[in-house]
Amino acid sequence: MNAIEFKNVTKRFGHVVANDHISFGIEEGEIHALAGENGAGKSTLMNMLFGLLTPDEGSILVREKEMHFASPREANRNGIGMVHQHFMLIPKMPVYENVIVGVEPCRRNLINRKEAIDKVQQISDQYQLSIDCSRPVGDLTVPEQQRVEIIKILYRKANILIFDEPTAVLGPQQIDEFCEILLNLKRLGKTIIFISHKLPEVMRVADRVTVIRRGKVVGTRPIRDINTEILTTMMVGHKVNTGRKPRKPVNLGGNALELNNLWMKDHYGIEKLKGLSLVVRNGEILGIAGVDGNGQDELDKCILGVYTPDSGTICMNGMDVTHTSIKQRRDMGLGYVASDRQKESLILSYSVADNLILGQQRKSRFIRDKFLMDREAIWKNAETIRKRYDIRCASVSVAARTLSGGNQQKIVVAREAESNPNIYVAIQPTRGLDIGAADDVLNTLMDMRNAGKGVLFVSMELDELLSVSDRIAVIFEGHIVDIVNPEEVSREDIGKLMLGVKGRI
Amino acid sequence: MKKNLTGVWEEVSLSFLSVALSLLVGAIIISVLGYSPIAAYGALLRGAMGSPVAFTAMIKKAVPLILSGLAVAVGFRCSAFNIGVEGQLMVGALCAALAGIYLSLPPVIHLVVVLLAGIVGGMLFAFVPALLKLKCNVNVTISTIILNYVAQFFVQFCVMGPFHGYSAMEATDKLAPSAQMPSLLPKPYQLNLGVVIMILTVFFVYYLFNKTVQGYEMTAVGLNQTASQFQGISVDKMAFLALLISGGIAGLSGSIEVSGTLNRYVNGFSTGYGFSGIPIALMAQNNPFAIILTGLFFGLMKSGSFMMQSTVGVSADLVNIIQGLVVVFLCFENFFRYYLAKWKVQHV
Repeated sequence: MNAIEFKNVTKRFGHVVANDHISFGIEEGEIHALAGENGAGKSTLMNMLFGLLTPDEGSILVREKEMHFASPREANRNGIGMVHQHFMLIPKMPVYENVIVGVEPCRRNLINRKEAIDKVQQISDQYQLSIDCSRPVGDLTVPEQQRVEIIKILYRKANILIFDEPTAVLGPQQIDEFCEILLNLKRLGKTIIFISHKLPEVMRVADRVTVIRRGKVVGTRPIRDINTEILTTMMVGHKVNTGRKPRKPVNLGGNALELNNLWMKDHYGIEKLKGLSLVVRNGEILGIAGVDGNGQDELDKCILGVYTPDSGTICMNGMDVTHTSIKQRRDMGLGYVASDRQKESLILSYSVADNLILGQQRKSRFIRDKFLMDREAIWKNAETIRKRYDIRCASVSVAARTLSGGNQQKIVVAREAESNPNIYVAIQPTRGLDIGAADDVLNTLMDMRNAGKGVLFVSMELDELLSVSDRIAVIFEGHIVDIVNPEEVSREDIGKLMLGVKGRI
Repeated sequence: MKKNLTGVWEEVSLSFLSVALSLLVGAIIISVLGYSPIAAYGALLRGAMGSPVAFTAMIKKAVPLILSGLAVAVGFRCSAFNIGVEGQLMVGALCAALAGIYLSLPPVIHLVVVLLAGIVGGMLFAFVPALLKLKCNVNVTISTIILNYVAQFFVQFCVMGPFHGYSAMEATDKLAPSAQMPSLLPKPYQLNLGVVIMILTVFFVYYLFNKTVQGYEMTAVGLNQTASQFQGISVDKMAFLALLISGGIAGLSGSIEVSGTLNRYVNGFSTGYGFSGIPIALMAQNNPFAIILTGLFFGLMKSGSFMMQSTVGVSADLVNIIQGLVVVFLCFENFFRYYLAKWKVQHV
């Protein structure tokens, strides 16, 4: 029996057809992956199932009964729950309060806290989610918070669980744990819809996969019949070259960036950097691999100048910049792509053109009469960059907010590259991007390298690191455990180094 | 550059909706009190705009309100929530009065010096919270609220004590004639040079935020502090600058009142101009030109309320209720947006 069936579901936004006669079924008790690039129409489809949108045509059948949910609450009542990409939790409240909010167990209008705690803890234990439900959500790690979201929908007695890009926020190891949780949920009889454009996970956990491209179903296949290559071709519509990018030898000059013996404590007094040293030469891409939380964040922010290390020195082009400001470092030629484009790189309400000069607004070519912005120069700059980097937007005067994630990231990557840096630091620049956009970003890194700049590339994706890096440094517990040559090393070796197993095998 | 017109229209309609709803609730209150809302609102309008004289008086009332709104908006644009406009306005007014009384200068120069004294006074008083923010990271909202009381009592002390005038009023002496602002129109019309200064200030604020690199940076800080910091903009310095400019405009507002309307510093002259600046700026979404409109709206309410009280019998305090309701409905913003978005989804 099909738990859910889509029949000719169509949704239009103005002239754009987001979903075009979508038909496929999801069987009871299976893990069904929904794969496709950003903007292919996966989320639109799920939002219709979940009652956030209404289809223009076609029907959605839940357990062979046609359903029209007017709101998520109604979908919940019918046993459908969704874990959104961005968690909807209240950090100050303990786990159990977050879980029961809206459906509190009451006795004479007072919340029965004991019953609530027991019930929530029982769910956590039953599904092996190992959450202490009296802790405040704000104290939990990202994967733990995600599990709280799962408890939330299980508490509401959901049988059909929708996960929207659940692995986008997780590191490699955390993804393993997450896959275990999915398989466990399946064993306990739940039906799971798993939206993702990350293929390894899809291949690992799903029973079947439906690929959507430009609003249409390309096909539904059992996982055992396909491989990653077929799946990629289905998603993108043509073959994509993965594997190592071609590179030309560049005359390695001096050192672009030198970090010497950095030590740093965080707010809680925990040592986050423990004698970290590394060198980025001109004309190379140095990749940083490591499990999230091993000091990458502190490392990135020490380089930019948000944090000052407790001891050790940072040199750019041979000059000591340890105690200089962000602005001074930027003026000395530091390009920096921050990990969270919306929070750390863009002013979403500013136009694309204004975002493309953010940080360079005081450069003489954008200024006239000492303190006035030269609008014409800013506009010309934006038009040039838009063409060169294929940033897709209605015009450069629309707000950055209106662009897709991939195009927002292109703004940042292009801006930092066009500021003519000597050192280009990119922190997870492909996070959340589809294959095509991610490839464009990686090519920009290659261009910077081939132009003789020093590039530091921090990523959670081993494949990307192996594809572009000239050397890969592995970070573990606040220091570099080893530096390897990507042409001589296997994924497994790096994986071991990332977990702190020292020495090459 | 072209703006997204539908977006602008949505913003504008939200403000109008808040005003309309407040007037509606105001009408209900008037009816409950046993009066005719039409008669009351009619009297309000007549009082504010019934005659050319009333009209000019209304505009004159709106000048300090508009300037206060601008002062608040400059801070808000940079996330420096300056609630201390009231205090900066009072200190600025006192400085202007003292410069007008104790300096003897040639006519035009004296007036300029008086206005500058007001601006500097307001800036100096805004310098305190700005410095506290820069050096000790003290929350601007809280420090400016607290400093309002300091300003109020400090100025009161000055006016009652060292600078008390010869009359029995709680006021200073009159400003020298050379320091008094000339009228633009013959009596009984009340318009003075303050209107021109106000319009110049509107253009200054527009220019600052839309043309200058400092305005670009201040707005960037207001919209996204982290991104601005990561791009090398000094967040603290920008907030510092915004607070000083905000305080300067507040001081200017006070000095126009002293030099143009009162001709002396009268204790308690400000009936909450600085505080009214907050809803005026909020309603206008910090847009300097829109602040003229929202400031005029508040001015209209203030100047027409007396006529409403004397002819219809509805207390003049009703306008305060309506002004309060405007803020309440403005806070419904997300509620309205939610339904607007829902309506759009169903009608596209």
